[in-house]
Amino acid sequence: MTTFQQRLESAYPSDTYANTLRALREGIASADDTIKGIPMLANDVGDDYRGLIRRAGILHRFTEMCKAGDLPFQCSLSPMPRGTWHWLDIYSGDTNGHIVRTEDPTAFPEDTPNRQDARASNMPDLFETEDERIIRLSPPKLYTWLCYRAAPAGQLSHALWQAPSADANEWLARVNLMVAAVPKKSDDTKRPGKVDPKTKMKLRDDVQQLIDKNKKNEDKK
Amino acid sequence: MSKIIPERIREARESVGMTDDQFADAIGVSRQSVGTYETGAVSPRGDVFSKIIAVTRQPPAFFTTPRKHNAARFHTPTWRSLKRMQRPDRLRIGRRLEWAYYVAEFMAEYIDMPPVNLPAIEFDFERDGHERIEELADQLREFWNVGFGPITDLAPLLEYNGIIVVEEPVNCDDMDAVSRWQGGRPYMLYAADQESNSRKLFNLAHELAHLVLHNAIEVNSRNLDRMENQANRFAGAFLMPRRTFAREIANTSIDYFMSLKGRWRVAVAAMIYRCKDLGILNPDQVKYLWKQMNARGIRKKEPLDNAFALSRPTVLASAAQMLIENKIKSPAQIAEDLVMNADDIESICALPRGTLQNKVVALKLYM
Repeated sequence: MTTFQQRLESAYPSDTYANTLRALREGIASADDTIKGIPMLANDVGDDYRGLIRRAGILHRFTEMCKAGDLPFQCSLSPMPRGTWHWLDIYSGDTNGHIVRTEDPTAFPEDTPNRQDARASNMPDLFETEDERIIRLSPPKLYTWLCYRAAPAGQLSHALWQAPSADANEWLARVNLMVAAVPKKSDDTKRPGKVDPKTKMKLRDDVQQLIDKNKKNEDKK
Repeated sequence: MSKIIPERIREARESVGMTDDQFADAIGVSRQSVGTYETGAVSPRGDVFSKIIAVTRQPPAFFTTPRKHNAARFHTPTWRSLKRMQRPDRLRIGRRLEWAYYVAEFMAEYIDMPPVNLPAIEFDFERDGHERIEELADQLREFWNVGFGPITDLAPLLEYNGIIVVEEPVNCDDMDAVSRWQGGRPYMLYAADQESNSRKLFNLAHELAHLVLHNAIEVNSRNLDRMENQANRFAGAFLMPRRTFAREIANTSIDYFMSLKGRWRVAVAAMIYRCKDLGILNPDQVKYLWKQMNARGIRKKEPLDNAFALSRPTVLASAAQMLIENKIKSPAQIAEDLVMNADDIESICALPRGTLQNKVVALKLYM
């Protein structure tokens, strides 16, 4: 049976990490620039709103990068089931997820009714058979969070894809995008690989033949 | 003594960046005498010839040995910053580019160099506009199979595709790079003493543009501006492709461009020009950004200019090493056969100083 970890890694493969980090970083930078560029926000009140504006920047950037094909996920802004706020639904394979801010890499996001409802879908289905054996079935959709936090100056302090358990503060699966051993190509799949011009050079055939001939003559001696 | 080739005296003088007057002073003759030596009307006396050797630092054979290859018929090279350059500097650096040709042709007698791999393109220099240049930049990326992401190192890519690249200190603030097709192969020389790696990257792309777009065009004062404009557009389009770079412009502040610089490696100034070309920034926004850069004191020297390394060219050095390692030529023989000062060859090839002054004779096989 596929584990939660395998499902998470399959939905968010390592070659998407670099661009996921880019979406977060560029969204944060864009938000900070907005605050700095608007006199009404370029003050302590702007700092009060920084988290919210960064959230807007990240959701926007993430959406743009999905649209452009830089991130291979489906996503759309939708109203949260409760209240008047919106979030970005992200779909990949048999997972769906949202972007949340957390205090540190292991911490859970602020507990809200919307999040409680969403993570409840990670509850395994329980079936009782005739011989009273309990069979656990993995949830058909794995619910995930892209957890991040940025320092006041804008540097990203952590970024992880994580699947929370339905009812306890435990992680079913998690991958840290900032420390994961990313294969080189994932840095940017479109970046040209290093080329070595020497691989296109060789001794001319006539020169090589002469070398071989001389070597043979030397060997004979 | 073998007969002195008059043109070599001019070549040697130009290679040290001297005017007729300066050269005449240095070798203790009149300016007119220098003219007569260089046209072949008169041959310098022995003592004058000794001074010529001392001043130009070339071996005596340089002045008397005919070359197998002749660079005289090539077009005028295209210069990055031509307008500001002094004539002696232009001649001096032009000679270096010419010498790179002699060195590469010498190596090619023994070694198959990377074949020239550039697409056959149709470009009407007079009529084609920016849209065509954008297409050609994309076409070249596709031809070289490098995708459309950031190009973080250019010299190895150029060399891999058959362009001979030379990095040398040029001791001239007004010169960034120069290029020309010589004997069926493109050559490029860029200033090692340019401090900004971001700018070096752009300079290489700019010269690549000349090689691709302006191969058959003789540069002159009438077409220079148009050529430069086209080369800048091509360099921008090649380093920052419309289809990928444009969609990363989530914001147009200096700070945001700075964050993009870490990824695309090009200067913020180049990104601003590119955004203007692509219609992302209007002229007022561009003006505002220039003011911002001036206010921050980063218009001429930007942060992160050297936050990443660029590779140096390696092809000529590798070729020399192959000759030595395979005992085809000894280091000293390479200098001898090229009849040039070993320091000059080492510099053009990017070989460590002293490599070709090794007098130890390698085991036989010399041809």
